[in-house]
Amino acid sequence: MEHTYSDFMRDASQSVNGEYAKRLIETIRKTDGQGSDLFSSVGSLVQSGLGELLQMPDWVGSAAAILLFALLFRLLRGAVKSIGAYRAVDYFTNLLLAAVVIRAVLETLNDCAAYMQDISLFFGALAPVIGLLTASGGNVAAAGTGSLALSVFLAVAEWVVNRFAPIVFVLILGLSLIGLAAGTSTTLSLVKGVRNLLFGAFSFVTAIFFIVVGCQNVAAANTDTIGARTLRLLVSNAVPIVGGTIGDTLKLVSGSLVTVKNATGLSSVVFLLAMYCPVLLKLWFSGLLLSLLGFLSECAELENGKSLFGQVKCAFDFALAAYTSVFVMGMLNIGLFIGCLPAVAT
Amino acid sequence: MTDFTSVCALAAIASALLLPIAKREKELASVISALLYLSVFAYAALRLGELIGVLQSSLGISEGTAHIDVLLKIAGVSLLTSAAATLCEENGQRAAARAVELLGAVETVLCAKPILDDLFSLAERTFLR
Repeated sequence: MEHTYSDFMRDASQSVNGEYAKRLIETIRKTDGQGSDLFSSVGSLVQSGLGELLQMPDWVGSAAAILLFALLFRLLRGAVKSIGAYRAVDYFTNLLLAAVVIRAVLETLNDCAAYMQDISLFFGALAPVIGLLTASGGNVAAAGTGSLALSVFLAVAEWVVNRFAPIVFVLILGLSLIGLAAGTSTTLSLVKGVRNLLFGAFSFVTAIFFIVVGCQNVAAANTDTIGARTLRLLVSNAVPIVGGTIGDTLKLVSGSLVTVKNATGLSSVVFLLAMYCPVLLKLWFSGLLLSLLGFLSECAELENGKSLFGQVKCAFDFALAAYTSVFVMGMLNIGLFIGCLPAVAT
Repeated sequence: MTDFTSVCALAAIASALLLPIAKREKELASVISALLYLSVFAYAALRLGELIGVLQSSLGISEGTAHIDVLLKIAGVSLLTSAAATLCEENGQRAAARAVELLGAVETVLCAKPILDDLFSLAERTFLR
C-alpha cells in the first residue's frame, strides 16, 4: 500500500508541467503527506510563491503613467478650442491603454491557466489511485461511481481550462478592443451580460455535479456495506473454525488501507489548496488593480478607458468563477474519497 | 516666471494699444493682432516642449517605453493644430482653419502609427492564433 502512495507521488510529479507544482509535490513527498512538517513546508513554499506573485506588475506602471498623462492633458483641454483635437488625444490614449493592459492581462490569465492545467494533470494521476484504494476496501460500487464522477470532473476541468476559458477571455478582450476602436463604451453592458450568463451556467453545472455525485455516493456506500456484510457472513459460515477470524483480519488490513488513503487524500487536498491559492490571490489582486485604474480613468474623464478596465475585470471575474468551479468539484471528489470508509471494516 | 509675466504684460498692453488703432486702421490692427497671437503662441509652443520634456523625465519615460512619447507628440500636434486653426478663424479664414484641422488630424494618425502597429500585432496574436 505504501508503494501505491509513493508511486502516485512520482507519477504526479512527472505529469505536472509547472516548476511550482513540481516543487510542491516534492515537498509533500518528502513529508510523506503527514504531520505538521507538511503544513509548515508547504506553507513556506506558498508564502515564497505569493511574495513573487503579489509584486506590482510592470504594466500597472505603464497604465498609471498613461492615466497621469491623461489627467495632465485634461488641464490643457480648456486651451484647445477644437473638440476634434482633444478627442483625438483621448482616442489614442484609450488605444494605448488597451495595448498595454490587454497584452499584460492575457499573460496573467495564461499564468493562472497554467496552474489550473497542473491541477487537472495532478487529478489525471490521482484518478487511478482513488479507484484502486476505494475498491481495495471492498467499496466496488463506490469505486465505480467515483471513477465515473472523476472522469466527468477531469473532462470538464480539461475542457474549461484548456478550451472554454481561453475562448471566453479572447471574446471578452476582443469585444473591449472593438469597443475602444469604435470609440464606444456600450460593449461593457454586453460583456457584463456574457459574464452573468456564464456565472449562472457554472453555478448550475456545479450544483448538478454536487447533487448527482452526492446521491450516487450515498447509494453506492449502502450497496457496498450490504455486499461486504453478506460476503463476510457467507465466509464465516462456509469455512469452519477459521471462518470467523477472516472478518477480523479484513478489519485489521483495512486499518493500513485507511492510513494510505488518508495520506493520499491529505496530500491531494494540500496540493489543490496550494495550487489554487496563488491563482485566487492573483485574480483578486489583478481585479483590485483594475478597479483602481478604472477609478483613475474616471478622474481623467476617459469614459472608454473606464469601460475597458470594467470589461477586463469581467474576464478576471469569469476566470475566478470557472477556476473556482473546477477547484470545488475537485475538492468534492477528494472529500468523497476520504469520507468513504472501507466496506470490509463496517 | 519672469518670461511668463513679460509675455502676459506685453499681450495685455498690446491689446490695449490696438483699440485706438483698430478704430482708424482695421487691417493694420488685425495684422498686428495676428503677429501678437503668433508671438505668444510661439512662446507657448516653446514652453509646451519644455513641459513634454518634464513629463518624460518625471514619468521615467525613455524612448519607446509604452509609447507615451508618441502620446506626448500627439498632444503637441493637437495643441498646435488647435492654436493655428484658431488664429486662422480669428482672421476670418474659416476654410484655412478647417484645412489646418484636417492636416492636424492626418498628422495625429501618422504620429499614432506605433500605437496602431502595436494594437494590430496584439489583435493578430490574440485572435488569429
